[in-house]
Amino acid sequence: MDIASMAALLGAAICMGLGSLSNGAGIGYVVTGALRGWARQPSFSPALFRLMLVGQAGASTPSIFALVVALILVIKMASPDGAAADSWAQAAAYLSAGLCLGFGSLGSGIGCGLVGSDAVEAAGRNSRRSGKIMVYMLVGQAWSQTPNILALVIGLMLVFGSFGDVTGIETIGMVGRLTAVGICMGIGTIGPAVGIGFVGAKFCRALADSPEHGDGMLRNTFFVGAAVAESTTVYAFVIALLLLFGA
Amino acid sequence: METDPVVIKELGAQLVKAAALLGAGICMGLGAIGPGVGEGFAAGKACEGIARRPEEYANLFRTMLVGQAVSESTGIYSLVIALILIFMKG
Repeated sequence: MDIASMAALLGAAICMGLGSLSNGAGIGYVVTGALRGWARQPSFSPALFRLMLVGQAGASTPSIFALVVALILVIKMASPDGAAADSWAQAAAYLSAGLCLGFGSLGSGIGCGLVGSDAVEAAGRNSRRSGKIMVYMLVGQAWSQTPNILALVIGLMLVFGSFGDVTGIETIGMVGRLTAVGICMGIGTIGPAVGIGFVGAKFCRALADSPEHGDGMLRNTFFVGAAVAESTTVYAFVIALLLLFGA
Repeated sequence: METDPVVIKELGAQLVKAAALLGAGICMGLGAIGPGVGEGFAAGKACEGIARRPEEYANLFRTMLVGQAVSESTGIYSLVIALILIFMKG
């Protein structure tokens, strides 16, 4: 078995393993929110159940991104023309793609779970506003997923890029460069995704507590706060692109 | 077996390059965690505060922005160090 195939399989395992690690916690967290809302308002439980399912679906998308890249890695490795099979640089790119999406899904899994949990609980507390709360729950989850989408972009570039033509002593630098891309983008998404999830969660909660300010001050605060929290993942994205395309 | 000194020099240069680039990646990756969580926490608590006392909106919003800007500083340090590593040693 050649080195690139081994790296692709290892990358797929890391990707899916890390990718589902926090997602399970996040999806479970939505259920705790639903149960708390349920206890507060038992008559509203069918609607809360539906909202919980929507929240869980939203919270499980990060692991779907990880699944996509893991599948591409496994299938690519099984293809007969397995490009540049003996190249260490290609192997580093596959492993790096796995690290990128594996770590990249960690933060979003928690963040989307936080949003879903607080949103379902808030809907139980203020059932007349549940439609609006559901919309903002989805907005918050989508926003918490943007760091993960940046990781997906970098991961796909790593998987489909061809680095097999790097030979000789240059390989050492290239392996360092490609591994750094995955680590930078992957780990760089964890913090912002959790942070944005926290803002979205508190916003949904505030929407139930003082709905009359929901469309003005609260939404402003949510959008500005989440945008600022997003900034560091954009830095990581820029550094990853600089590393990938060689400064 | 005699190793050519030119090869050894080239090998060293490549190792320094690999380490610098790997360092840049780890630096920016880990450096992004703290500011992201911290800024999100500040904004979340600001939402909570505004829901409780909407009349203090201007104050709370300003404090949130200042707090986030300060929290951002370590992310910018990481960015600067990563850029220096890439452009000086990469």
